[in-house]
This record gives sequence, C-alpha cells and structure tokens, in this order.
Amino acid sequence: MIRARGADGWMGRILSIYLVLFFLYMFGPLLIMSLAAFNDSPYPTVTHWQGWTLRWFGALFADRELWVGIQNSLLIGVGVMLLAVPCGLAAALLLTRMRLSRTSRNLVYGILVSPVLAPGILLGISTLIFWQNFGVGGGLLLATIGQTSFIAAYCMLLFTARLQRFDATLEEAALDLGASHTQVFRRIMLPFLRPAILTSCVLAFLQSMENYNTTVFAIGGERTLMIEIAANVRHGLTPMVNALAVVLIAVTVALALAYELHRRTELRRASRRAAAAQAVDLRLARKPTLQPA
Amino acid sequence: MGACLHAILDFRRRYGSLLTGYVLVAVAVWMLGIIVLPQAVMMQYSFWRLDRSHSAELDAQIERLYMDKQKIERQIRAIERELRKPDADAAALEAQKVPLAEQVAAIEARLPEMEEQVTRPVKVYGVDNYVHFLTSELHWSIFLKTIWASVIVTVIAAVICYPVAYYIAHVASGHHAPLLMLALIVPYWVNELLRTLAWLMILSENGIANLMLRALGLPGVDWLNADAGVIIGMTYAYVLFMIFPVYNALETLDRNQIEAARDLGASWARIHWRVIIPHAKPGLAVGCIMVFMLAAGSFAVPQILGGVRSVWFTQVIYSWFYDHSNWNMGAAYAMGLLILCILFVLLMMRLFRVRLEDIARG
Repeated sequence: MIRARGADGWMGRILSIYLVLFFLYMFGPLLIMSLAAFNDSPYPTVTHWQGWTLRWFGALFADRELWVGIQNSLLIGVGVMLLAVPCGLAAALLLTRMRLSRTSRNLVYGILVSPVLAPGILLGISTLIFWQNFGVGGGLLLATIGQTSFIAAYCMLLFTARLQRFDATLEEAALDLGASHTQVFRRIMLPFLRPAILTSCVLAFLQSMENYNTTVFAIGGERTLMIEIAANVRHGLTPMVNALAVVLIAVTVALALAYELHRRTELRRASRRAAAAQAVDLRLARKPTLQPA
Repeated sequence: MGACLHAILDFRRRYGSLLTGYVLVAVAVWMLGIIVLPQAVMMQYSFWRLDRSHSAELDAQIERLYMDKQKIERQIRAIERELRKPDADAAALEAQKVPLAEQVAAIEARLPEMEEQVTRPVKVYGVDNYVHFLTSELHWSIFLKTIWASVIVTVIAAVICYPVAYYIAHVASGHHAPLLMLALIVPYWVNELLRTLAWLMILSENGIANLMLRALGLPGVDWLNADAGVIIGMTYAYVLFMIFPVYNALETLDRNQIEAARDLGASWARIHWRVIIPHAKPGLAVGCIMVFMLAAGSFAVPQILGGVRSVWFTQVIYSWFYDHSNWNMGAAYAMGLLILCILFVLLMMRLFRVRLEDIARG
C-alpha cells in the first residue's frame, strides 16, 4: 500500500484502514442515493429493489416547476456574477494598492469578509428587512443581493491573491512612458487579472447556483433550483430528486476533473518555463562575455 | 480620517479619477449597502414591536363617538323640524343649532385619525422581543439544543478529520496526496441538500441503517423523529469544512520535527499531542468556527431530517417571518443567533490563542 512516512508500523496500518473507512463514509451515501435513481419504486430506496428503470430521468425533463426553478437560478447566478466580481475586484484593488493604515485595512477587510463566516440565514434576513423599507419584497433581486454579500468576498480573496504577485513597477514604467491611466489599466492590469476574473466569474456563478440558506429567506415566494429540490424532498418525494442528484453529481465530478486537469497542465507549463529559464542561465554562465585584458 | 483622504488622493494620482471612483463606489455599495446597513436595520428592527393592544379600547371609543354624533344629529333634525313650523322662533332655534353643528364637526374631524390608528398599530420601542425570547421556555430550550448539537457536531468533525488531514499531509506519498484531496473535493462540492437527502434514505424506517440493525437482531430505531438524525446529517454535511483548514495548517509542519521527536523516543501519542496538534491550532480554530457556524445556522438539514418533534432554532426564526409575519421578533431571534456566533468566535480565539488575521486568512 502507500509507504508510511509520517507514521510507521501498526500506526501506519491503522491509519490506512481508517482512511478507507472514511472514504466509504464520504462516498457511500452518495452512491446509495445515486443507485435509488434507477429503482422502479415510487419512493427512493435501495432496500426494496423493484427493477431497473430510467423513467425518473424522463420525469426530470417533464417537470415544469423544476425548469422554472432552474431558470431563476440561472438568472440569479448571472446577476450575482455581474455584481460580485466588480465589487470583489474593487475591494481587492483598494486593499492591495491603496496606502491605508494597518488598522483601516484590517477593519475594511474584516467587515468585507464577515459575511463568509456568518450563517447564511442572517444574510438573507438582513437583506429582506433592509429592502422592505424601500417597498421591495422578497424575490430574485433580493436573493441576488443577499448572495452577493458573501460571494463578493470569495472573489475579493481570489483577486488579492493574484494582485500580491503584481509588479507595480510595470505600471509606473507605463505612466512614465506617457500612457494614460485608462490605458495602463486596460493594457497592463486587466490582462494580468484575466485568469482571476475568469475564475471569479465561474466561482461566483457556481456558488450562487448551489446556495440555499440565504436564498430561502430572501426569495419570498419565488423558486430556485435548490428551493425546488428542498420542496420536493419535503412534499411528495419521488426518485426524481435522486435522478437530479445523479445529474448534479456527474456535473460536479466533471468539473472537479476539469479543474484537476487544468491544475496539472498549469504545473507542467510552469515547470517547463522554469526549466527553460534555467537552461538559458546555464548557457550564459558558460560563455564569458568579457575577457579581462 | 485625514490619512484615509491622503491615501485616496494618492491612489487617484496613480490610477486616475475613473478607477478611483469605481473602486470607492463599488466598495461603498458592497460594504455599506449590502453588509453594514442591512445588519444595522435588522438590529434596529429587533428593538421595536407593533402594539395592537390599544385597538380594542380605540374601537370602543370610536363606537361611543359615533353614537354621540347620531344623538346630536337627531337633536339637529328636531330643531330643523321646529324651524319648518310656521310660528318658529328662527333666530333662537338657529342659535341652538350652531353649537350642535360645531360638536358634530369636531367629532367628524377626530374620527378618521382614530380609525387609521386602529388599522395602523403603534411602534413601541424596547427590549420586549428579547424578553419574549429569553422567557419563552420552548424557544430557549430549542436555542440551547441548537448550541449543544452544534458543539457535538464540531467536536465529532474535528476528531474524525484530524487523522485524515494528517494522513494526506504527512503519510501519503507525493503522488497520492493530490489525488486524495481531489477525491475529497467531489463530495465537498456536492450540495448540502443532496447529501442530506442521502441520509434521509439511509435513516428512514426501512433504510439501510435499520436494515443493518435488524440483521444484527437489534430493533429498528426511529432516527428521523428525534434529534439524532439531524446531528448525523449535520456531521456528514459539514465534516469536510474541517479537513481543508487543518490540512493547510498541517502541511506547513516541518517533517524533521516529527522525525526528531521520534528519534528522541517519543511515543506517537506524545508526538501528536506536543508537536503536531499545537502546530495545527490555527487550522483547527478555523475549522471549528466554520463547522459551528454552519451547524448553528443550518436550515436545510433540520428541514429535511428533522421530524415533527424535532424543531430547530433556524426553523423558529423562519416561522416568525413566514408564518407569523412578525419580522421584529424574527429579527430579535436572528440577533440571538448572531451574538451566539460572535461569542463562539471569541471563545475559539481565546482557546486556540489565534488572532483574527489568522482566522480570516484560513
């Protein structure tokens, strides 16, 4: 098995067994739930097997309310993306590029990150109450705003990580050479931020699609995909929900694999670049440029 | 304040007015409009309530005024009948009518305002909502149950996760570690609702859990109408939130320290207790905070796995908003939850001796 390095002997063996049990614990329920999607029974179960069927997947496509929920989720997802990414970017720029005092920076950072730690329902409740004063009731807009409060923080963290590695001298050089501020931003900062912007958009969208706690308080009478699932589970549960779960799990696995593939190609590209740089250095070292007289 | 202005102007010099404007507006909208002001309004809501208790009395008063008005109008009509008689003393009768007409006008002026007050109750400021929360035995016991369950879930999650995080950080070989992490990300990304549904199936009357119990000759257990099902579901849903921070903290530990301790003859138990766990403290703190917050604020899991007899605090809050339409009471209860979370963060910071920056970064 895996050769133990931080553990030896019996402890290594116990750890390995424990790991296997843990992964069974993690994946077992998901497998059981997925299996039940194929059971020809009116209630989700794997213990009373009544034959293989694909009809629950068919029922998925026929459920109108589900598609309304999906549509609303997509709308909210796009809305959150359009709101959270610019806010997160602005906050990242403010925190990394503005010369604030340590206390100011920590205060702003603390406030902006607090929604991530707070329970989601509190974000939904505060949004609902606040907008009621302006006569806006619970719905898609409020759900978007409520979700943005913490999703923008995740975007901000992505952008700050990326901005830490930004070389400010590039900006100064461009300004010295006569570039306008917009040119500097458009030609230097934005291209540098592009991977972070893409990742932020994807992250914001996905987190919005799968959010439940904040949404359920801010959505009023509307429905999103997650709310439809919860409603289905509580009233009239059929294996159709399991079929939906299978689809969502398959999408998750595909995304995880894509992410891992992307990470590995990035690593390989980075190591190739480092190797090439090293080769150049070696060549320069072997050829002396100046001969002392 | 002056330093902030100076920093903003310096930023403007380097980046231009357009970008500065965008940065300031976007951050203000997010920080104030989406985070701070809504929380402040929620806190303000918790300190007033709508008082409808005076409306019964007001109703009675309005009734009396109507009856008075009718009586006076009858008197006026009597005078008018007198006026139509041929030998009426017009001047004297008119003189009698004027004060009566004035009284009717006065009553009619007061009535609309009073009627509006009956339908629009009065705002009463105070801590009545909190008093209601603290003195309601049922709600207070639910609140305590939520705290207790969240603590249990946090402890179980920490105990389960630590060996896994340690294995991936220090025992697995370089090739296997990323694969194991990837394998963990998949259930982590699957939504909480779906993972809870999986346990609904397992813990149901004829689900796998009872099947196994019965195979062993034990009686089946009604997991779903007690709190146990919710606790099991919460543990499964949130356990992975503990692994990643602890793994991050453990990864920074220099393996030489472990080897040195081993060489000096320490047992594995001692090594973990004295060398490894202290190093993992920031990660453990972050993990505990996240799991506790998720468990205390969990709404989906009690909804799905809780039975009729198992009511949880988040459901109480929800019912104040959507069943009783009493947003003020709901806001007060939500503040209770918020205060609990803040206290827990402070407790964790004290217990694990970590600063706020370490937590935020994790």
